[in-house]
Amino acid sequence: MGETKSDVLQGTLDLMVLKTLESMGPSHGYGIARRIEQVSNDTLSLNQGTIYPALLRLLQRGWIKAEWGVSENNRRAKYYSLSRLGKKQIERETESWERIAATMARFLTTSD
Amino acid sequence: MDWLRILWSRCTAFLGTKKLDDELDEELLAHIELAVEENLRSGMLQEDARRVALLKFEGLAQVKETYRLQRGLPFLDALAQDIRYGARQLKHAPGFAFIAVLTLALGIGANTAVFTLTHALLLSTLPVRDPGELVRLAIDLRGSEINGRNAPLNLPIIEAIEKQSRSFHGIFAWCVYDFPFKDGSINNGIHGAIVSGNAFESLGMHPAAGRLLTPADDQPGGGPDGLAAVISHRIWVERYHADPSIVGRHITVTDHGATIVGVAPAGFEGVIVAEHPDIYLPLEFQAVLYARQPNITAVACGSTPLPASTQASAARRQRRR
Repeated sequence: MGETKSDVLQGTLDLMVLKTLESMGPSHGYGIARRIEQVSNDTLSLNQGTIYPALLRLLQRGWIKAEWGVSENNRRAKYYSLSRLGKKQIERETESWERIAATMARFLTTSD
Repeated sequence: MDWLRILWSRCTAFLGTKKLDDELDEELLAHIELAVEENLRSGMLQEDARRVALLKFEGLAQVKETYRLQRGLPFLDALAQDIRYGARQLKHAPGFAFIAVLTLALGIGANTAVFTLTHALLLSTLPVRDPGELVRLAIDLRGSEINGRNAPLNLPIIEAIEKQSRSFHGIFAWCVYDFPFKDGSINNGIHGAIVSGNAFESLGMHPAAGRLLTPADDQPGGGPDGLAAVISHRIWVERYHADPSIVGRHITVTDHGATIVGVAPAGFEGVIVAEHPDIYLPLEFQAVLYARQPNITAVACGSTPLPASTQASAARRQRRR
């Protein structure tokens, strides 16, 4: 099972979180973690704990906002949502990520 | 601007650590509970559900620690810890602490003293017109009857040098004294200098208020305002709150009346290293001093071994000539 799962690359988690918030709207840490696992079809080995330092990083940069709310099981939970700055950041990071991916793809095809 | 936002966030977090810690605990607890419930819904047993939820969330304590480090100002936390640790260590070894503090104190003290001296002698210049052109005159009497290196000068000698010299555009006398000083409720000693009337003129200085001493103040009985006195900018500000109406005020110096005629410029502290006069009096004041106390024959600077009254009258005779 371990062999088929890849680790989350440094720096990619931030974009995944931002993108998740964009598509799902405000959600709590557990929701974001589950969503990332589902979207990746469980091919990523995501330690759910690493979501929280990533969320803090995004909060500190002002890309997301946090608010206490009530979860589906009637517990108090922190809900995160995208800020205006965060939306712009998604555009920037998507662009840069696509460039990297394209470059990597070129390397991989020429080596064949 | 990112770094600013991050710094702000870290600073506020540093100040509200306890509350944020509680919030983080609550948030992570909610996460685990949500995971357990989902696992239960998918048909797991109670204990399996919890075990799997925790497994997916590797190292709860580690995550919290990473989070805290990223949130606040860890270097300040570490610094506080180091200081506490250092203080404890010093308390356990008071002898060592004492020697260490003593060594530091002596080291800092010696450095300060050496620098102060270097600063005064080599680095700073006097706030006068041409500080580089000032020289201090002294008579070398080694080998003579009196045998002294810095033999005292007196007014006749100064006037003789003035008459003969070609290279100086002004020669003035400057003697440092401490005077008993009275002005209304103020009654204490004051550090001062007796200077010849041309001193301020030769130095090219301008008063902060009123006027400075002039050669006219050297006349017997004083100048136009009686015995004139100039005070330092420092005491003008400290004692008289920089009041310009101070000019014309009557004061008592060594039980003798004098009139404040002006204030020396700010930053001027005399021409002799480490002597900071707060009052400047004309040479005529020396005559007044000696007339009152005729037995004083030798004074620190600027007098001869002659009886003072003789010296003063000799100076006067010379001037009249």
